Amino acid sequence: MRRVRYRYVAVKIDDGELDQRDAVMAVSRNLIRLFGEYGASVAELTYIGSELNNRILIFRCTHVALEMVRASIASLREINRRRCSTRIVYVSGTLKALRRRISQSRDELAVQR
Amino acid sequence: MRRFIDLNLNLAVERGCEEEIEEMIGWAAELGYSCIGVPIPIDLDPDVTQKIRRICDRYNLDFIKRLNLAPRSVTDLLDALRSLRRRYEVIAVSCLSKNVARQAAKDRRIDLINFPSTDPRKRFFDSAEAALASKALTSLEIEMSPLILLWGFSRIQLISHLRRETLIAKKYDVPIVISSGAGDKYVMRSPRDYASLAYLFDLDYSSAIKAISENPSKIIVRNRRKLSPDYVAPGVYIVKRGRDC
Repeated sequence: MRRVRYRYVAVKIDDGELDQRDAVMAVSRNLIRLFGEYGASVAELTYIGSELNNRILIFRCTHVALEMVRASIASLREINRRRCSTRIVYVSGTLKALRRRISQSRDELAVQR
Repeated sequence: MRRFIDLNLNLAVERGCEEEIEEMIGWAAELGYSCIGVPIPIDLDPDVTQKIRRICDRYNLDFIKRLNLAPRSVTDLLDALRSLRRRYEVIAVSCLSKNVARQAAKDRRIDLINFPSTDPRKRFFDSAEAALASKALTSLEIEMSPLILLWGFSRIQLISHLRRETLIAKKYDVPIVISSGAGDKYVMRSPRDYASLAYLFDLDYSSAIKAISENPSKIIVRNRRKLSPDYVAPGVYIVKRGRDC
């Protein structure tokens, strides 16, 4: 059986004090809303953790569903009935590389607007 | 390095809220755009335009003066073009009727055509329209903010229209331009995020990146050249001035 390849996606949510759990739920819900339960099962979206005091959320998805996950994150407009702006800051093949890139641009990413 | 361009950033120019304008321009710069197009109403005070230009300079953004036209008839469209073409760098036409859509597609003075309605009977981008647009170098503009703001059935309809229109545009080599159409910072997304959203209507990632960088850039270069004092006629430019030529 061929090994499943994954992608790690770092998402910055630009809005004050959001609950991390709400944000994760909103991303998963949006994926299901856009691509349905079948799409979500292909994506295997998993929350890995957060960086920079919950300002960056890290998700894992299968590499075949990366575009689906990117589209669903980009179309997210509110979390827990609060308007927010999301953006994907990095995508990487390994968690180690992703964390390294986040820490390299820590100052840039930590700016809270 | 690739230059990302958002040709339709709806700043609150009429309200003149400087803080809001500056916030959106700053946000555009942070998202990675190097050039923004702002729709400027015909009767807007020139000082406001200058103010926006100054804010853009502060954030190292290239400012494009854009005009949005939504004519009711072909005569209205032609009148507006005659008087306004040389005052704006980019002209976009919202096609509300079939006659206007056909005229807009074949007129070389128009840069972008868009179809704002989600009503299938009011989206006129078919093969005939695409063939005309392809000859006149008019681009199809796709606004991304409705994709984020719409909900449920209307979003489903919109995605299905966009998918069909993208397919036709590709078939007839009509350039596609992706713009935000954002009216506030919460709808603004980074260029790569917009390219990802284009996946929803089957526009591949590289074409989507082109639609937000190269295609709008070509329009700007072409129009700035036309608006320069050295332009004489299509294909004729003054290359040197003076007594010895």
